[in-house]
Amino acid sequence: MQVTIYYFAVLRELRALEQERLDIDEGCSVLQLYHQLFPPDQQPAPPPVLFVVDEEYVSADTPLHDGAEVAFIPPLGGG
Amino acid sequence: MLFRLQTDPIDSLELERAVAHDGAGAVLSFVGTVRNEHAGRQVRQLDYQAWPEMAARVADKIAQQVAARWPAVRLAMVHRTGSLGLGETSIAVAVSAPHRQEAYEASRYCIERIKARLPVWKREHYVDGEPVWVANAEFEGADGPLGGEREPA
Repeated sequence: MQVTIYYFAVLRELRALEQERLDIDEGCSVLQLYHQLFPPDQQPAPPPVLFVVDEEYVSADTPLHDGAEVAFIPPLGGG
Repeated sequence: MLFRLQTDPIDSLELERAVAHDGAGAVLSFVGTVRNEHAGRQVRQLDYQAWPEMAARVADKIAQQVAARWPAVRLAMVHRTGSLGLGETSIAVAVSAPHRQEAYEASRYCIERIKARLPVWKREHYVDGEPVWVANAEFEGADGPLGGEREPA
């Protein structure tokens, strides 16, 4: 199945993309996808993130569905 | 509820006018400005990046939460994006309420939720050295010990 992923701030720089479409495995959680794209042991270490699916904040174990719009929210700096 | 992201300078009086009405005995503005120092480093400029669609949704959620807690409060929030120099206004939050206690409480609540959940990122440029993406202390990642979903916004 396919998902669309949006990147912001430091993740946009690490991935060198603003968005992309990817084929992922059935049953993959949003946290598993983050770890696939940004392995926890890589250097520099990926940031802690919040997860957004279809423009809603969701928990890390949320399973992804075909057509999901996913965003990883690196540490926020608004205000 | 007024919410907007904008690259033009913020006029906080516009927000005060947006929330003022005859039933309000208190109008309170919070104005956040660009400071010249962070963690001992001299700051010269900030760049703000935002996700506009999600920011509008988060602002709506904050407004709903404010309405549930303080039904008589009116709210306006504007955040700047792009490059800002020292002293410029990065955010303004205006609230009105019948009495000052609700106004202070709602104003504080709004700015804390904005810092925790509004999808806006800040890159600091220093007098010396490379720019850095800087995190709010209020940020709690979803894979952290608290799971990030104590109070969904």
